[in-house]
Amino acid sequence: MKDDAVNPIIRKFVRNQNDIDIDRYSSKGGFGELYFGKRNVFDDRVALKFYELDAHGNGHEEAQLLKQINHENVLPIIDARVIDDKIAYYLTPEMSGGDLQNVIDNYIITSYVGITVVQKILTGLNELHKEPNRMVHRDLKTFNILVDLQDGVKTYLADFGTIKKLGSSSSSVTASQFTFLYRTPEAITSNQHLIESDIYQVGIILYQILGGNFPMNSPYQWLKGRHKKKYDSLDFWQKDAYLSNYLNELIIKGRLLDLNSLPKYVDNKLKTIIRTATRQDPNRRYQSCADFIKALFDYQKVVKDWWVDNNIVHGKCLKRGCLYRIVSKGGKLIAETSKNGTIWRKKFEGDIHSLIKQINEHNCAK
Amino acid sequence: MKVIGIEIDNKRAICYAVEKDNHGSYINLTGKFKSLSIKDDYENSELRNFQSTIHTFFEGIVPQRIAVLKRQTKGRFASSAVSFKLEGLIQCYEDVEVEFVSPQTLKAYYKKNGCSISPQHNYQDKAVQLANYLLNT
Ligand SMILES: Nc1ncnc2c1ncn2[C@@H]1O[C@H](COP(=O)(O)OP(=O)(O)O)[C@@H](O)[C@H]1O
Ligand SMILES: [Mg+2]
Repeated sequence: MKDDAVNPIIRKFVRNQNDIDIDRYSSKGGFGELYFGKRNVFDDRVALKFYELDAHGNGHEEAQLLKQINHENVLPIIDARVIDDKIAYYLTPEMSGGDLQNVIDNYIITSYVGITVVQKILTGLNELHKEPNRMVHRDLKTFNILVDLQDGVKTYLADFGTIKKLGSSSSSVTASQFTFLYRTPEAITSNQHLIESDIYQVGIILYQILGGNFPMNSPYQWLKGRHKKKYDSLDFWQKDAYLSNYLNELIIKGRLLDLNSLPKYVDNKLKTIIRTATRQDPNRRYQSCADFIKALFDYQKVVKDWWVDNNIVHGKCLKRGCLYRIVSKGGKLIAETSKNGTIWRKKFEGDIHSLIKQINEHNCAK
Repeated sequence: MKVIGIEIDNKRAICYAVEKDNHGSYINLTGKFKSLSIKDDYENSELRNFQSTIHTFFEGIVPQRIAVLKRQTKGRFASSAVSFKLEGLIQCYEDVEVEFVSPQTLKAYYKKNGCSISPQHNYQDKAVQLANYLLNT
């Protein structure tokens, strides 16, 4: 375990466990140290997140919140313990897929699965928002969604370190300062975070999961043309400030997301859903998780399932399993169908948008 | 008090969610849920989604009462079978007991009482009447 930099008290503790074989350390945790291991009695995998306590022994808020919220789409907590006057940890199941970013980066996510994952995120989030909880998460992003791939795709809201309760008569709290790409226009302009700010962040997640360009690890890719030139000409110590100013501008103007970068099967209706969730003006976004979920529900029932594999667009009728794909033959784009994935028959001809529309509307039972 | 009145019409559930506040004014909470419909009642995933979508709507509102307008199960004027599937999914909501109100009960009530809420759309008529009835009985 490459945990040399970790507090020796924690290192000693994890090596002295009898009930849990702790076998992996993750440097991903921003605030607390994270370890993973196998529980011997139950033969299941768990995650241990260590955190610091203050001089009065306070600091359990995150664990207590997780304990308070019991929901199918919220990370369940198994236990929390104090190991030293300054250190505690809480125990949760380890999710086999890791965080959602890991799943996006390493698996093909079909449009149906992607939309379903977002609906699950919203269902969990609704649990935080609803009366009497009235809590906002404030740091929704792909890294804070955990995914279990054991049977189907189970989705959990995690990382409750930034959650805040809205006052009984106020609809906003101060914005959290984390992860600037997910910062909302209202966080930048007025340092506010509302229910609709959580909605905005889920809108970005929807865009990412559907395959929109969002170069988190190399945000300078957002720079284009003269901005890029300018950035390149700056000294390295000026670059960060320039880039973050530029990105803030994009966010405020509502131009952070490039909807044209989405796969072609993300049609205008679905783009409108992303757009509505991420509008600059919070009042013009979905006003609740339920409204957002409903828009996705209404969309999902009239389209096929879609994905890209090896640069080929594939479609599938979820009910009967009929397959479609769009290929180029003799310089023309055609749509083919197949019952089993081996024998393909030509079905439609046209440009990409019309092919996708025809496939979406095609009733394969006839 | 917050309530939700629901009329199920074949493949769609028409909802009206409303709050009567302490000053006696009515606040429409329906949002995008004026109606929620399904396309294919033999598609399991769609029905599951219908259930979780409408339950999330209920959870977001936290109503004290939810009622569905009762429909005939038998005879010449029996409602479509699909509508009863949707009704069953609505009934699975656990946070409040889903009530049933018959058209006759509503009719009798509105002979003696007025409806304080006016629907935005004609098709919401029954759901609105039902919601108003729930608030005042
Ligand atoms: N229960 C878990 N199962 C699998 N991976 C986890 C689990 N908990 C945390 N992780 C991984 O660790 C990362 C950081 O955890 P998180 O709770 O978000 O802590 P932080 O507050 O430091 O961001 C997550 O993005 C995820 O990759
Ligand atoms: Mg995190």
